[in-house]
Amino acid sequence: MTDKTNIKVEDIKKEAERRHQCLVQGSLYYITEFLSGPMCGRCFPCSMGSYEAKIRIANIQQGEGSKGDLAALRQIATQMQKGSMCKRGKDTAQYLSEWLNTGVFEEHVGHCCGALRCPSMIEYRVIPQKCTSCGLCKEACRFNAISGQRRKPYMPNTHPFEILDRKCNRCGECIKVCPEDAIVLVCSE
Amino acid sequence: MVQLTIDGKKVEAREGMTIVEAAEEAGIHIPNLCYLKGMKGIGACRLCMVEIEGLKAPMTACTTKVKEGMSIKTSTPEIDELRRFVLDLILSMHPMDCMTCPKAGICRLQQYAYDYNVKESTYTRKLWGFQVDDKNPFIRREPDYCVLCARCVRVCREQGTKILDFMGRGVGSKVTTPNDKPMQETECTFCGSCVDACPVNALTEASKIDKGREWEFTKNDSVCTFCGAACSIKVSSKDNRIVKVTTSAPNYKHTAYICALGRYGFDYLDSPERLKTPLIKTNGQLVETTWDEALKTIAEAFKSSKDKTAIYTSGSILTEDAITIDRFASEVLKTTNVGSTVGIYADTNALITGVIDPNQIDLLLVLDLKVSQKGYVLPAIDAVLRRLVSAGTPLVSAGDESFADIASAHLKGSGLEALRSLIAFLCKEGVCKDAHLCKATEGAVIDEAVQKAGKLFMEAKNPLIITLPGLAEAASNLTLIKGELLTIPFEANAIGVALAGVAGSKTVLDQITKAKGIRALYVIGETTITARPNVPFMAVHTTHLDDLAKSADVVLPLTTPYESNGTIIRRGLRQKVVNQVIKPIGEARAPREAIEALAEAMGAEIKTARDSDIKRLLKVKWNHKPRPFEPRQDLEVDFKEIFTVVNRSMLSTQRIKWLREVKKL
Repeated sequence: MTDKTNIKVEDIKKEAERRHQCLVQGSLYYITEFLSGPMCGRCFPCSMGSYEAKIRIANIQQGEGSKGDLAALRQIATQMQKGSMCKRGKDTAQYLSEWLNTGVFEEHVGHCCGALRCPSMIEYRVIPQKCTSCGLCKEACRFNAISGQRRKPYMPNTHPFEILDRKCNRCGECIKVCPEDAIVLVCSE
Repeated sequence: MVQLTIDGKKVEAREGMTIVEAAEEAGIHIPNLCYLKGMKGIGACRLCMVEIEGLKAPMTACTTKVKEGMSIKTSTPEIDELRRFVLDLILSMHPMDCMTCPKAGICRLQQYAYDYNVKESTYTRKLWGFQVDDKNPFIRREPDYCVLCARCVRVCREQGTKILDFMGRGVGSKVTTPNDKPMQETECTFCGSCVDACPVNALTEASKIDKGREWEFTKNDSVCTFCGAACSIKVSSKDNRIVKVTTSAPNYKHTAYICALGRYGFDYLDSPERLKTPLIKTNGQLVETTWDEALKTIAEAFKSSKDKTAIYTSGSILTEDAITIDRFASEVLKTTNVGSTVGIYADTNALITGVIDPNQIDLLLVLDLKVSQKGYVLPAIDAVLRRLVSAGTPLVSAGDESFADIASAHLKGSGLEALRSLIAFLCKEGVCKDAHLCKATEGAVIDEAVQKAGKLFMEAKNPLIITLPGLAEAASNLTLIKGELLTIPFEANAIGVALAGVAGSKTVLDQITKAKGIRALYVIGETTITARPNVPFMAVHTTHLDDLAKSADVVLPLTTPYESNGTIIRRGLRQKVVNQVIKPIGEARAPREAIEALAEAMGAEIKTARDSDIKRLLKVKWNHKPRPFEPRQDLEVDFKEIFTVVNRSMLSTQRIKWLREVKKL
């Protein structure tokens, strides 16, 4: 195993942005890597603050975030920047407050991932106008999450295709096979 | 000196001091959890952040040194918010059970949470469920309470025990022993320095639990008299029972140390063998009697034995007691057969040294000082020396391998050889101009280590030579050039006893044990006399009914130092006050009370020892003159041999027995 403690915080940030299109996921990746790597644990605001921040970001990312989480994160970013001993902690606080200012976190607390990357706040939907009831999606779905009857010329009123959110595992296979682009990702409300 | 302003108050501070220290001396407390007096600040908790005029960002007061003209604000809305933030985070991972917590009342976290009105944490509750280490009778370790301030880790490391350390990093890490073992399976000496350093309930005295709340305890400063280190202690008691003993320094100080025996040895106070009333031998059996009756019997015996009476005392009695003994022997009994255990390992010459200012010492020369924390040989001396070295004072050692690892220079051979080599080097360099010394040390080996030590000595302004009484006179030759000498006696008040003139010598002890020309014997405290010499009459004034007491004609109950008032004279000729922390158990009396009453029973009167008598004793001056380069072989005694005998009742209490068994002592 390579020594993670010497990784620069800027590099973690770059890697987070490269890996994740969703900022909340990116920040969660960043804070996790920061805690297991360059976070030295020498001063309280940084070690305890970033640990708490991880819990709060994970909350938000899982769709369980609240306004309280946002307020806590803002407080952590402000105080960590003021109170941390070294640049690594101050930089982390800086990144955190930059991210908080983008509005993406608020969006997530409102249960919507703008980048459509957070599984808990997105839904797969069939657009009935576009669907030709070809049934390819139903064949591709490994979780039996799609209901509907395949169209047969002699049967005018077949059951329309629908995705059952409760069963859906958000694997995205249905989108890949749909020839009509009739399946889309939307924010769940 | 530096002038600065803290919260509008003009403050004077020594150069090199940190802001926290300067504020503390001026009576202003800056909140902190990780700062330790005398140790380098680490700036971890960030509670000590202060605003310094002219600086953009707040600074940590524990790592910032004072500067002329500084203007400091210890509290601003911005700083208080940060403090609240840190406390809030700490509380999110702290068991919130202040109502039953044994540390409540002296817990720093509790205090600051109150000061900053942090009722409960607004952050996510984090609970670790670490295992509690309560497998030893002394220290209870509960890592769940830990705030990760690292004070215990630093204290343990700097005193050289190096048991406690972090496992992991940041939140969720814990302070523990090597391999996470219970403390008794490690090299831990149970000195409890970590307990004193811990600001919360992560480390506490196991014996204190369920004995009351902190605010119910009466706290008195006193002195531990078990050994020659004579450490300052603070004794907490409740309902006339001692609950715990800690170091006496407020807010902790790095030179404050007490060992496991000093901290937990107080159990002997009310052990089953403790004497509560005088006993008198009737038909071969010791039966309870009154003080009057007992004293009358002794007075009659002494009236007939007169100058053939011997008095033998331990070296841990108080100075007032020693003066009274001297007066009684010379004025009433007119006997010269007076001695003490001090006579076995020291005499006045070997004990009287210069007056030392501990803040000025810039070099330590440790010669033949066979002290050890792990071996419980004057452990406080070992710990304090190591802490001074950790804090930056260089140390030169010889004749004692245990300091070789931390010494700037370790000299080969015995302390005496090293001394000769060092003086020979100083003569060669022209620093020592004393012809007598140069002649006496001619031809001594000067190797690299000696040169290094010599250079350190030349650079130092106030070197301190520390040794045992056996080498004191030879070592004092070095003080003719520079510095002061400190000899470490084996018993707490050896210097006081010696100055009062009752130290005696091995010859006196010999005479007593062989009962040569002795008709009656009076033994005070626990001494090296453990079996009755062949004397017609023996009275013993002691704390516990041991074998010697059982063989006596009259036994008087003695107070322990916890139960008496008085003073001792410590190394460096400093008077230390021993305060009564609990009322005497039963009818126990101090040696001077018994002797004064005894004199009265004999129809004589002796003057009560006063403060002015002690002041007169302290006027003795260390005579700087060349002395022979010879170790006093007659004073070379093993510390353990004396210590285990003169503290036999303390060492046989249950908890201390457990310790001796675990540590194979």
